[in-house]
Amino acid sequence: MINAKDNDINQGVLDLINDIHYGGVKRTYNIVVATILVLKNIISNEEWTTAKNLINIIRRNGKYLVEAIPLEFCIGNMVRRILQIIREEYISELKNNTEETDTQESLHKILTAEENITQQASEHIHSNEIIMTIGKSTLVEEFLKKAVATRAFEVIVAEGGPSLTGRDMAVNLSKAEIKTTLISDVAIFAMMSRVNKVIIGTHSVMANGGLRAISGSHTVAQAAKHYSVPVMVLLPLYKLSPLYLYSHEQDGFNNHVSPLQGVIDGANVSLLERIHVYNPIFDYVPPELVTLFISNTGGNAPSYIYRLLSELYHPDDYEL
Amino acid sequence: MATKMGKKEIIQAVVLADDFVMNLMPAETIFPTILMPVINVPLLDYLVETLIKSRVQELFLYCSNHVDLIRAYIKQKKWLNISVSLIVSDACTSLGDALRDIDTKGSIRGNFILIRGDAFINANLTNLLIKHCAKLKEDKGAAMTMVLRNIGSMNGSSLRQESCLVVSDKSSRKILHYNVLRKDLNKVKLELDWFLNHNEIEIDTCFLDSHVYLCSPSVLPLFSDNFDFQTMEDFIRGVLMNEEILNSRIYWQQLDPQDYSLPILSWNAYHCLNRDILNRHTFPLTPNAIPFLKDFIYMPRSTYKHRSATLAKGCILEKDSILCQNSTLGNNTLIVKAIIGDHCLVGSNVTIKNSYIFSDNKIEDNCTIINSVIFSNCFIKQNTRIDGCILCPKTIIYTPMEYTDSIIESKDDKISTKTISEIDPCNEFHLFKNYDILENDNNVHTNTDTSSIDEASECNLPAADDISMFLSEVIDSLLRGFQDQLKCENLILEINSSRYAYNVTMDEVTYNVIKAILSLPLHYLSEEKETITSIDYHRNLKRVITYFYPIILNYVKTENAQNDCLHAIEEVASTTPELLSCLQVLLHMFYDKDVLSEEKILEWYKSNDKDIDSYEKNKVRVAVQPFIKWLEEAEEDSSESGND
Repeated sequence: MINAKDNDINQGVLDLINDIHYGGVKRTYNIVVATILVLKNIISNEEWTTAKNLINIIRRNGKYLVEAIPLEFCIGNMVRRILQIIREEYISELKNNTEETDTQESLHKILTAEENITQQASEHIHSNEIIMTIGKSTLVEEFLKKAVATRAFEVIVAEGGPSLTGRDMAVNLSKAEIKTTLISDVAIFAMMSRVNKVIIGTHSVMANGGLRAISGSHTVAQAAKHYSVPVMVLLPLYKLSPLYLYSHEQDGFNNHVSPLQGVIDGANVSLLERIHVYNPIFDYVPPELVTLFISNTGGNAPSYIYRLLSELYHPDDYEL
Repeated sequence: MATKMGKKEIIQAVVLADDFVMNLMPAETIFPTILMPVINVPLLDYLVETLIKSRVQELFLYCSNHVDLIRAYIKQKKWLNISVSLIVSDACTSLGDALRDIDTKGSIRGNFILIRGDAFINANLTNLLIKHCAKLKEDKGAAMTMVLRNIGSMNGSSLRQESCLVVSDKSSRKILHYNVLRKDLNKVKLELDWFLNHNEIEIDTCFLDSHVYLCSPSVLPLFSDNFDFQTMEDFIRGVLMNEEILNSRIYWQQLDPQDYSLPILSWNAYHCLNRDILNRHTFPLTPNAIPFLKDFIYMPRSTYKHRSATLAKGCILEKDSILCQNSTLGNNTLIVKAIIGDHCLVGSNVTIKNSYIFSDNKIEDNCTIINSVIFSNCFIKQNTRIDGCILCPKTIIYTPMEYTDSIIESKDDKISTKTISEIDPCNEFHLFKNYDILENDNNVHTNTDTSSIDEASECNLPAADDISMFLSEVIDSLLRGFQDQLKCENLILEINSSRYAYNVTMDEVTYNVIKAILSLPLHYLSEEKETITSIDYHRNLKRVITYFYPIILNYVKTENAQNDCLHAIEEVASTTPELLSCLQVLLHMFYDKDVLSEEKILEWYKSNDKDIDSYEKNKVRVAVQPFIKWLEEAEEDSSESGND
C-alpha cells in the first residue's frame, strides 16, 4: 500500500486516507473537518521557512490525498482553500499590515457553513408549501427541521433508489413533526405538479454550477423544469469545486457500486452471467435545471458560481 | 505475540496459503493459490483488504509450498492496521495437517476466522464472527459456522459443478448434512431421522460454500484428536456423524444478499470471479475502489483501461475486459472478455477472446488467442493460433502454429506440450469446454437480442427425452390394447392424454404413433417369446394394422400428417429388416385404405431420391420401387382413361 515516494508524505495524511478508505470517516462534513485538521497539523509541525516552501508542502500532501481518494472532491477544495489563505496571509504580511487577519475565522466559516445555511430556512420556505426532496441529506433534514419551528408545510420525499435512503429521511422528518409523504422514484413526475419547491442536497457542485448529486436528482430536476417548479440546492461552500465534468472522464466523476446493492438479486447466477447491470450512485444535473444555490453567504444563481470560486480559491491552485 | 490492545479482544484470522487441492492445473506448480493473480493482483491482496475492513488485527498465513515466494511478497507489502505472521511448514499436505500444526503452535487464542487459500469474499467478517459467538453462547458445542452464499439455481450457469446439498434444521440452522453434488450423482438419499427428529428442516441446493469458516477454539483440538480428518469435507462429515460423541455441532450463516463471495474452485470459477469483479458485483473489491487497483478508466460494457495503457487506432475492447498498467495494443486488435496484465505488448490485428494474459507478455501481430491462460513472461511469435491452452511462465513460441487443448512449457529452447484432456480425464478442468458453451449462449444473445431462443435451446434437451418417453408410453398402451382387445377410441384418448402429459406437438404424435404401430409386432412377438421371422412379422403387422385402423385414420388426416406418417415408416423400415421386406405391401395397404394419397407417396419417394448419400434410406427406396412403378403406371392409366 505504501510506495517509495510516500516518504515525503505526512503520516497524518496516510492515516486519513486509511480512515476514509476503511470507513472510519464518513459524510462529506466529517471528511472536511478531518482534512483541515490534518493540514493544520502539517502547517504547525513540518519545517518550512518561506511561504512558497509551505505551499509546496501542502500541495504535495494535498495532491497525494486527492489522488488516493479521487471521488471526494471536498478534500481538494479544502486543500485549495488553505493554499489561498496562505497566499492572502503572505500578501498582507508583505504589505506590512499589522492588523490581525481572520484566518481562523475563514476556516471557521467553512466548518459552520451548515449552521449558516439552516438559519436561512425560514426565508425560503413559506407557510403551507409542498416541498419535494430526494434521498437522505443531513443538511436538507436540518434545514427543514429548522423551518418547521416557524412554519407549517408539507414534504414529499422520493425514496432515492436503489439505496432507498429517502426512507430514513422520511422517518426522521416525521419524527420532527413535519407532514411527510414518501413516494417511489417512479412517482416523481406525477407528484411534481402539486409541488411548490424542490429542495435537495448535493455531493458537490462543479465549476459550471452543475451538480453531482445522488442518482434520481436529474429526474427530479427535469420534472421540476417541466412544471416550472423552482429547484433549490443547499450548498455549503466546501462542496464547491473548481473542476468540470468532462465526458471522457465520467469514471472519475461517478462511483459505480455493486448492482447487488439494490438493483438485482444476487441469487440468480445464470441471469447475472448473461447481463450487464450498472449501479452508479451519482447523477449529473446540468446548471440550467438549478434555480438557486443556498450557500452560507446567501442565495446565488448558478451563473454566479464563477464569482464564488474566484473568491474562495486561487486560479493557480485549480490544478493541484 | 501476546499483544494486548486495551480491553477489546483481538480478532484473529488464519489463512491457508495453499488449498492442497489441484484445482487450477498447472498454476499450483508456479505459485500458491493465494498468490494467483485475479485481475492482475494476487488473491491475498483482496483477502487482506477484506480483513482490514472487517477490523481483523491479526492474520496468520500458513504456507507449505512456495514459501519463498510468499515471504518475499509479504515483505514487499507493508500493511498497516494488520499484523501478518507467517507459519511455515514443509511437511504439510492437507488442510487437516495444517490445522493440527497450528494447534501445536498455540497462537490461536479464541474464536477465529479460518479462510482457505482460494476464498474471495467482500463481507464484513467480524459481523459474521459476532453472530457465531452469539450462537456459541446458546450452544456450547457449536464448533464451526459455515458461511454460505445463496446464488440461486446453478442450472444453466457455469458454476453448476459446484452446487452442493445442504440439509439443516430450519430454526437453529444446524447442519444435518452437507455434500457436494457430483455430476454423476442422480439420486440423493435423505435420512428419515432428519424428518423425525426436527420440526422443520431446510434442504437447499442454491448455496455455495464461501470457504470462510468461523471457528470456535474447539475446532483445532477436534482436528488434532481425529487424524483421519484431512479435508474440510472430512471434518464436516466426521463431526456430523459423531455429533453425540464429539459433542460438536456445525451451523451455517447466510451471506447478506448484497455481499459477494466465490472461492476459486476451478478454472471455471476463476473465470466467473474475474468477470464478476469487472461487472462490479464484488464492490468494493473492484477496480477504482481499492488502492491496488486504481487509475482505471471505466468504459461502457464493463471495460477498463489503465491511464498508462495505450490503445492504437482501431482497437476494440468489446466487453468484460481490462487492460492494465503500461500495456499496449496494436492496430485493429480485438479484445473480448479478456484480462491483459501489466507491461504486455500486443501487436496489430490480434484477437484475444476469453483469455487471461498475465503480466510481461509479448504477443506479435496477427495472433489469435482464444480460451487460454498465458502466464507471465511469455513470447508468442506472429501468426500463432492458440485455442484452449495454458502457457506456463517464460514459454517462448517461435514456430507459428495452431496449438489446441494443451499445456505448453518451454524448457531449454524446446517446447513441450501436454494434452489437457489426457492429464485431466476426470474433468476437473472444465474451463475451456464450458467457455465454448457460454460463448455460444452469448452469441445467441447478441444476434437476436432476445432471450427466447436461448430458453428454447435450453428446453431442447429435456424435450427430446419427453418424446422418447411419449413413444414408450404409446407402445405400452397399444400393446396392452392389442392384447386385451380394447376399443380403439379409448386408446386414442389414452394417447392424447399422454400427449399432454409430455407436451408433445401434433406432428410428433402422428410420427410416434405410426412408429409405435409398426414396431408393435416386434414387441408383441418378443412378449410371446417367439423367434421373430419376417413371415411372423408380416402376419402380425397385418393384424395390427387392421385392428388399429381407426387410430391410424384418426391421426393421419391432413397432408402434413401423411408426411409424418411416411417419415415414420421410413425410419422404422431403415432400422428393422423385417419391415423392409414387406414395405411395399404396407404402402399398398395404406394406399388402398386411403391413409396415404398417391401424390404424397410419390412426393415422398422423389424427395427421398435426392439424398442418396444415406445408404439406409437408399435401401428403403429400392424396397418400394416396384410399388412406386405400379403406382406411376396406374396414374398413367387413369390419366389416359381420363383423357379419353
